[in-house]
Amino acid sequence: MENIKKRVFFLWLALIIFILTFIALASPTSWADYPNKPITMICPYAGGTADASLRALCSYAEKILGQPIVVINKPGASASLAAGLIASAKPDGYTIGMITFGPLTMAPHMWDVAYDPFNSFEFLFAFGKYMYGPCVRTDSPFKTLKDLIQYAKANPGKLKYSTVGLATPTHFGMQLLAKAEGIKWDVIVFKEVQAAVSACLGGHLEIVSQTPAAVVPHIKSGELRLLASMSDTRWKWVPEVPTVRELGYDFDVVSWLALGTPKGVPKNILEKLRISFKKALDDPEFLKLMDRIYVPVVYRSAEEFKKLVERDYKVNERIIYELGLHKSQQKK
Amino acid sequence: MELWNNIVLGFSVAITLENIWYCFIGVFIGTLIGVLPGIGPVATMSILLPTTFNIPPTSAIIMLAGIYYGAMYGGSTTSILVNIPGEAASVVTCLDGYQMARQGRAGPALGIAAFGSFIAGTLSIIGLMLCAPPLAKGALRFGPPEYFSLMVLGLTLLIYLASGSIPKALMMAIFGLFLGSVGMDGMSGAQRFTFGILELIDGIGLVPLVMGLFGISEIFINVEQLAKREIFKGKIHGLLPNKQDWKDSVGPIFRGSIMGFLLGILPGGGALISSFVSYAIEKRISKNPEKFGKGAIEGVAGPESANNSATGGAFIPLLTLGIPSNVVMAILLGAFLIYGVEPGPMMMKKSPDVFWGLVASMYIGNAMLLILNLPLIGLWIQILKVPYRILFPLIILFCLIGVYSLNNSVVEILIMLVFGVIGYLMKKFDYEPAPLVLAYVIGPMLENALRQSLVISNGSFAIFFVRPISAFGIFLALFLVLSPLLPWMRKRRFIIVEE
Repeated sequence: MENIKKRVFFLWLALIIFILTFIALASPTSWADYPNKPITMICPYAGGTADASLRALCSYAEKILGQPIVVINKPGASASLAAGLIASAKPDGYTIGMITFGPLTMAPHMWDVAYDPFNSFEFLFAFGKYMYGPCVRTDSPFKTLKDLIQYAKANPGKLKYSTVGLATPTHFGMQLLAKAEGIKWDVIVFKEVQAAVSACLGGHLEIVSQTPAAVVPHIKSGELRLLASMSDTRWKWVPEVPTVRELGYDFDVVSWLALGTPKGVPKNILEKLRISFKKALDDPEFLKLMDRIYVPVVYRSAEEFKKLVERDYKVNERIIYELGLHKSQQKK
Repeated sequence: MELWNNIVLGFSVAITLENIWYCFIGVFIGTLIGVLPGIGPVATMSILLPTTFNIPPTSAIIMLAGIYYGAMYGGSTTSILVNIPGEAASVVTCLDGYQMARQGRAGPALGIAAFGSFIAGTLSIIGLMLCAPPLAKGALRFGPPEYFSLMVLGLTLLIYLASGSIPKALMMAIFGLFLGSVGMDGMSGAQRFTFGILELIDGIGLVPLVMGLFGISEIFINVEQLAKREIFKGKIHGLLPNKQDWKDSVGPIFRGSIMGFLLGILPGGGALISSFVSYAIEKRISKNPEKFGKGAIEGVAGPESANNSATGGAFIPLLTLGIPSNVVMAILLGAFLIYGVEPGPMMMKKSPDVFWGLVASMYIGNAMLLILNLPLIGLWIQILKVPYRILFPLIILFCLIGVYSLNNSVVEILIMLVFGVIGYLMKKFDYEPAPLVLAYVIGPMLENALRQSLVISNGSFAIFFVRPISAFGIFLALFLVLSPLLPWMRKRRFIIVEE
């Protein structure tokens, strides 16, 4: 019976250790202690520039916070899966994530999301800005946006442009442009950025409308020409190209990368996170890196970001409805 | 001549103690994650990316690249040993590789996979060196109509994946098409069969699907018989392929290399499709097609070569045009940009040392992988000697962890288990999983290509026949489907299955 006694002893030991660990992990955190264990950062993309920039930011923030930040990729449903996860996480400051614009201003209109864009999150700040603009090949006859519009007016339905995914800012931008000018051009949706760009480079369609990260390398190498910036500012790497507002149109489309936590995280922990990540953001090495991958670093405080979300939420609702993509319009 | 100078430059960059070390780390990690089911190069490269900020760019790129093609080597290991694809691209290797293992020929299977991968990898690098720019330009000419015809061609090859009854294979293909349609439709926003489950918006997921269908179902089947007898019976014959094996495999290896290389160049093409195509072609031209599915070494040599040379081909659009052809290349693109190297037409001029250094390191990496993997064969075979009742819980554990490690999703674990049950039932009733997987992969691509093409042509179907490449593809597919009916073909009997 010696064997059984030994087993029982070890089982008790294991149970006690287990309970003790549980207690240790479940203890509440205070301002001074935080963080005292690794922080989980949820990333809504697997691979790509957003993932890379987030990991880079975390590698700088780790040193400031003094605890490792574990980035977990949770792609899916155009980043709204990750947003749902962040919203439902325990508000103790150990689970944070990157929230992008899509889940906040577009996804809620298109499908049922597991969070409330206005009340489920505490934002730290927004740090990355995605801009958009239509590009054509350099050997095409369109030298300015006006050329393109003129051609479109004369030949309705002939021009095609590529986007990645439906109901993205770039799609909206092109549709708003079409509405403003009364022209018709067709969208061809691709699943990956590279397919959308290659289709234009290979001559299969005329226009590709994408973020700087996707097209600036090709603009630099002389293969593509940017006709206009559909965002509120000119593109830093192609400063001679005007924005649509400068050209007289009354819209702009942007998307943001923001950091957030679930609602209910104690104010002091929130502040510590905010300060630490802001410091990481200001690191010149990080800024250089973001510049290299063509993602502009633009800072918006949490309050400013909330206003941006509200504005675009309303605007997008209307556009999505007009495009027939609203969830209420989906046939059951 | 210039090419020679570049090669010398490349090797001078690659053969430094530092770069050799990073190359080794890369291929070693790559092999490991290739062997582990579930976790793949994408996740690993993302995680390791920040650690590379402090090492010289060329070394970092060499390491990251090594992870990618190393994973292709390792992926076949679990496919052969336990019928679980370590990488989605190694699915096809399960078909014959696992059967070979059950017959005690795991050693030759692993060996020919390693050698084939080496030869194919080397050939693809040579191809990369010699004709990268023109091939890349050719790849650009593949627009939606061309992809459509390619997918049609792929579907016609589906028949050759079946080693049993053809009607059943077709049923599985249709099931695969149906499964492929689950998710949110990219072009209209309509939700198909998602039942409000957010995780299904992007579809079922290839990795949980194949792991369940092949791996978990196999465990269920084996455990059923466990009570009666041991699973891997029979002596293990030899560690390396014998002369006959080599004779049989030479053709498939070379054909697979060329096929994989060309398909790898196409964005969206890649290792998975090229391994399927290689298998189908080998079976089609084989004198004994009935051997396939029961342990034909051609069924391992061809696909394994194809998926490795596809990795070489995949680099071409990235390095010459700056366009990544798959997710892994997209990560590499990000890495390149972060290090200040701009891939694309300017790369060969502005950063020749990075370009040629990378190419040279790929030779070295392939050689390292061969040297790494061959002795490991003896080790892997020992795993088969472990009693199955101890082995299978471990396999299930690795599968569960592997699937979860992908996207941290419990839903994907459930999917894997559900398809494990479905796969078990399929095996019981003699339905084959391979046609299902191919249809599952090709179906959505075919549909997208079709609709994109029709938008380009404003609704006219003529677009497929007016453009030379796509017309060629469609006619070839028609020919393949109808050829058995042609009288002059009937002289040679094409036995696809044994009735």
